[in-house]
Amino acid sequence: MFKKISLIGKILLLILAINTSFLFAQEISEAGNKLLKEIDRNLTPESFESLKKIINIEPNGTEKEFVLFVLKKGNDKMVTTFLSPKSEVGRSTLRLDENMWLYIPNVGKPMRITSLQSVIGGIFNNSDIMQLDYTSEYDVIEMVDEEGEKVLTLQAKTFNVAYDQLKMWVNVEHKTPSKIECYTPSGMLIKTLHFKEIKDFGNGIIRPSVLETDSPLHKDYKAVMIYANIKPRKIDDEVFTLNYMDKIKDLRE
Amino acid sequence: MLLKFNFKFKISTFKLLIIFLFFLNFLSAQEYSFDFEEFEKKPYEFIVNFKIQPDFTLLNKSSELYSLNFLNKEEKDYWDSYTASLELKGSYEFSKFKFTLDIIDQLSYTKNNEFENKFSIYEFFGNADFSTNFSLQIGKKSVKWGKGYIWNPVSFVGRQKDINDIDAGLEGFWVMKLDYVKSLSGILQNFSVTPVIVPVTKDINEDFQAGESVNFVLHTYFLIKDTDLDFYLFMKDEKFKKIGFDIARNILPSWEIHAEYAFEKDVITNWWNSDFVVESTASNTHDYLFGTRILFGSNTTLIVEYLHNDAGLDIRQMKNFFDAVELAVSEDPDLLPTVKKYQSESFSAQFLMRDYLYAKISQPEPFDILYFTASVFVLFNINDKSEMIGGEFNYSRFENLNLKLKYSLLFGENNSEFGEKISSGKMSFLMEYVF
Repeated sequence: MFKKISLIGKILLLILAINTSFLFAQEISEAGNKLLKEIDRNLTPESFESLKKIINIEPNGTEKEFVLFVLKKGNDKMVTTFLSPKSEVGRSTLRLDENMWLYIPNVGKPMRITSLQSVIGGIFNNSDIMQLDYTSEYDVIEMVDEEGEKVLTLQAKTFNVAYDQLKMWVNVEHKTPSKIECYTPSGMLIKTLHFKEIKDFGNGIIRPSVLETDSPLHKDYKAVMIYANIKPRKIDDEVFTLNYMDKIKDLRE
Repeated sequence: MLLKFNFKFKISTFKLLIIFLFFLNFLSAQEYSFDFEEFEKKPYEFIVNFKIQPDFTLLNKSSELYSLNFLNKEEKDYWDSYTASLELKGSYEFSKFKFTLDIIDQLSYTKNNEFENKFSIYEFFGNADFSTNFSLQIGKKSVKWGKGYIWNPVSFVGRQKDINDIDAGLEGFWVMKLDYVKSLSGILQNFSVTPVIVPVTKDINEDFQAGESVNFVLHTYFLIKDTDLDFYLFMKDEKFKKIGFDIARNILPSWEIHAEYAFEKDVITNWWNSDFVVESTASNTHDYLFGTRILFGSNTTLIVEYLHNDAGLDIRQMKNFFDAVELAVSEDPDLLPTVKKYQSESFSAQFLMRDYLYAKISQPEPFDILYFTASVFVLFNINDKSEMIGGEFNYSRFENLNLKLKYSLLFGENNSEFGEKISSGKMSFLMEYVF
């Protein structure tokens, strides 16, 4: 009799343990995704324009700079165009969810590209330059505390995303990332993004203004992205179509 | 006094040190600077593009076209030519209107040891944005359609690409073009409707097609889920002339597929019969292209395309022409004017025959050389098994300076397209500076 109760008890305890750990994991995931949503909104408004300067730094210290004008709306629409150097002016990239097109003025028509390519060369790929909200591409699967920061593990929602898994260190005060490690499905570290120099951009946007990248695949190379003039803006959906790719730079206000 | 002085000196040194440290701290805090105000929008903008391009062409002395072009002339092993061009692209914008100008002046020292100057207006048009949905463009404009990399049978309003310089800008035609674009939520994400009018007179668009006409072209585009779909209709003087469509999508994030199809009524093909007489036949043609673009983990891109040019010549017609050239050069000089006229008018197309396979592999940053891209390609004529093989090295390390080295080699049997070309190879170096 004792043995029989004990067995049932063990089974019940096991079910309870599984259930509790499942609920706990679900709670962490919900809290993590809520935090990730806050991070997204702290990084950029839902619909905005901004300027980005990208600097590729070679091991010998030589630099090449690019300046882009960026428009983004909602979770899935983004378009960028080069303003500098002169040789790249008008080269535009459109992202609609997982679809991406490149427009080169001489070629004169948009062609499909992938997020893994790089329109500028160097460490930043198209996905880094055309980063959508993290919540639109990733789910939080783990959240832990580490030396005063939250550390989130993000899993890609689909295989179309450039990085299968991200490990994000979150500045708790500003609720913005301080560091992100990007991994392949096999667990290989591809690159590390370092978020630096918190700045008040106005309109309640307080976020890192510099993003520095290094990669074990490109030893001693570095790339830097500097954000400027981030401001909320109402943008018509039609701006995010192939028809508009040759006139994105005209949309600066 | 001395002590006082020393004290003052120490104080000022200390202040200087503080200021210096503060400055260092400021510098380290502002490691990267971005003066974004210099990128504020201006009503005007202009870009000047300066190019220098020496070309070296190795001649195929055993080809029929060499015999034809060097008949009664001093023989040569190679041609060299040098081109310098200055392109000015400018625009001026006010309110909802924008005017765009793209002019090119090209000075060449030709293969015939002569200087030639060519001035072209590539684009000169006005654009009016009535709303985000509606825009109107009137003037000379380059309109490019189609999904194919090397060939676009649906490019009803544009010129065909130069297979030796696929990404080069192309001169436009005088058009009136209206654009309507609408975004939607749902499977159909957005669509656009673009009617274009292309008039052809003795003075404008005379190279668009033979004779005077008014042409109406309608282009519609749909983004359905993750698929691009375009339809094209071409009416000449209110009569149906051409229809086509193209489609493209990524079936995997790094794997794109595309296709193009065009049907054209009454296409005239001029060809030589075995009696060495040029015949003209009119037929309805079906041109199509299938292609794919794959990005591998190594960042290598592979493009493969198959194209069918329905109005192209067959093997027999090609052989008849080369036989006619041989006859004209060796035995029958009366045939020479007809042969030369045919060569300049009907034998200068990019694709002379019907079926081709194209493949290109490009590798950015090989051996970790940033801003360097190397590529190789092959254009294989499936009908006569001749081929063109080439490659390109592109280096864009220096700001606004682009360096490009291109080469191509032609292979083929007698009476084949690439085997009978006047050249057996070509090498070009391009230096392009933009300011």
